[in-house]
Amino acid sequence: MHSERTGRSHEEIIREALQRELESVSYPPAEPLWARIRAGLDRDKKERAVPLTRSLSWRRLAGAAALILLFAGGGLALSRSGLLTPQRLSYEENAELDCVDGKISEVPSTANAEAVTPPLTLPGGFALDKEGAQEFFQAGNDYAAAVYRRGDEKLIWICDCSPSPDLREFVDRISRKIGVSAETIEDTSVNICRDGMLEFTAGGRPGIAWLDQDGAQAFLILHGSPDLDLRSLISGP
Amino acid sequence: MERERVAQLVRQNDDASRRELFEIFYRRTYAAVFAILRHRESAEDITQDAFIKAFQNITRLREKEKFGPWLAAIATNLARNHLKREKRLYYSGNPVEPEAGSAQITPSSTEEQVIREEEIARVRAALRTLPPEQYQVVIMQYFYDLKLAEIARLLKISPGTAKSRLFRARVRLSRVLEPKEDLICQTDEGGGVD
Repeated sequence: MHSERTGRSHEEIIREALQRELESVSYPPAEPLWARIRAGLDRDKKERAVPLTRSLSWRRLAGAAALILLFAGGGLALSRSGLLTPQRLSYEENAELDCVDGKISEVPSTANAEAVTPPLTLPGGFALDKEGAQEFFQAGNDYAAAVYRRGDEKLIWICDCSPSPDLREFVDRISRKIGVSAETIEDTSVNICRDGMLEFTAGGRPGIAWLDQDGAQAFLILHGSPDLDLRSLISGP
Repeated sequence: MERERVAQLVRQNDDASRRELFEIFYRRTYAAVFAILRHRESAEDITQDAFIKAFQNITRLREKEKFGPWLAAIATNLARNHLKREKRLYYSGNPVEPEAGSAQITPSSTEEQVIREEEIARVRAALRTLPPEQYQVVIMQYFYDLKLAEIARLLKISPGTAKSRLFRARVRLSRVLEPKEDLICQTDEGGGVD
């Protein structure tokens, strides 16, 4: 008799309980909240109107450059690292991305009206690896990535620019999709959460991830010095 | 009807339609955020940020009629991130007693109604103890009537993760509906209690 109850009846009770729980909330007055939202939107509009100030655009452009590296130009170097497999760069789990048949769409850089020149260098002497990047790719609307080089060292910067991504899931996703091969997923570990940042290893490779107004972002060492202080790269050039 | 209107407003995407979308969704969005944070000021701030992010990215939304669940996903993700940043844990994992008077029992209630009201009060108390990631999925499933695949897509998690979070939440919520039965089971397995 109990088992009869425990299916549908529980579902109904849970639904009703949740409904009442959410309806019991006393709401703040709408007008002040709307005024704050409008102010936030206006502020954002003004910021966007100022050219060459937003980093998101260069990041997207840089991401485009990186992806062509992953697909074409950087294929040899990346395959030597044993970590990157370009065919894994599909985002089938993210239907919100502008992907065609689960594959990254290719968009000329000129399609991005906000595009500005990306910084060529990062602190520490890392330079954007432009090798082979004659065209530009965009990973849907939400993803961007760039590969930087310093001598034989390489690191990848990845950004999920979608609204409010979850940082841990982002780390897990990039580890699965970009950073490591499927066999080493289990090795991915998020170690420390300090200053709102996540330090992680993906297949033994150190990485750091953080959230800011542009979304979830991460640096991951492809190959080179594992002692590199990734935090020092975040402040920007 | 509301779905069509919402889709139309999302397509228009001007000041007036954004205002109307706010009117339609701010209560349920705030309620979902408050359910996770249980803090008024933070819930207001997060609701505000969620609307701003949603309006900034509104052109990316493909299924225009899904603005509400999409906004809820943004808002509840922001709420969870806020908790992580603040390193706040409101979830204790311990059973919570329903608040006195939370069951809506009137003098004319039948015995069945009384039992149901008490059960609802217990589930409401248990809802408040859910970890944020489970509460988020419960809200998407039971409040927004989304299917698992839709929940997974909106939250950018795998369907398996969505399923397991929902399963764990259901187990937790159902447990408070069968407290005596649980005790009997433990007694049987454990060979009796003193």
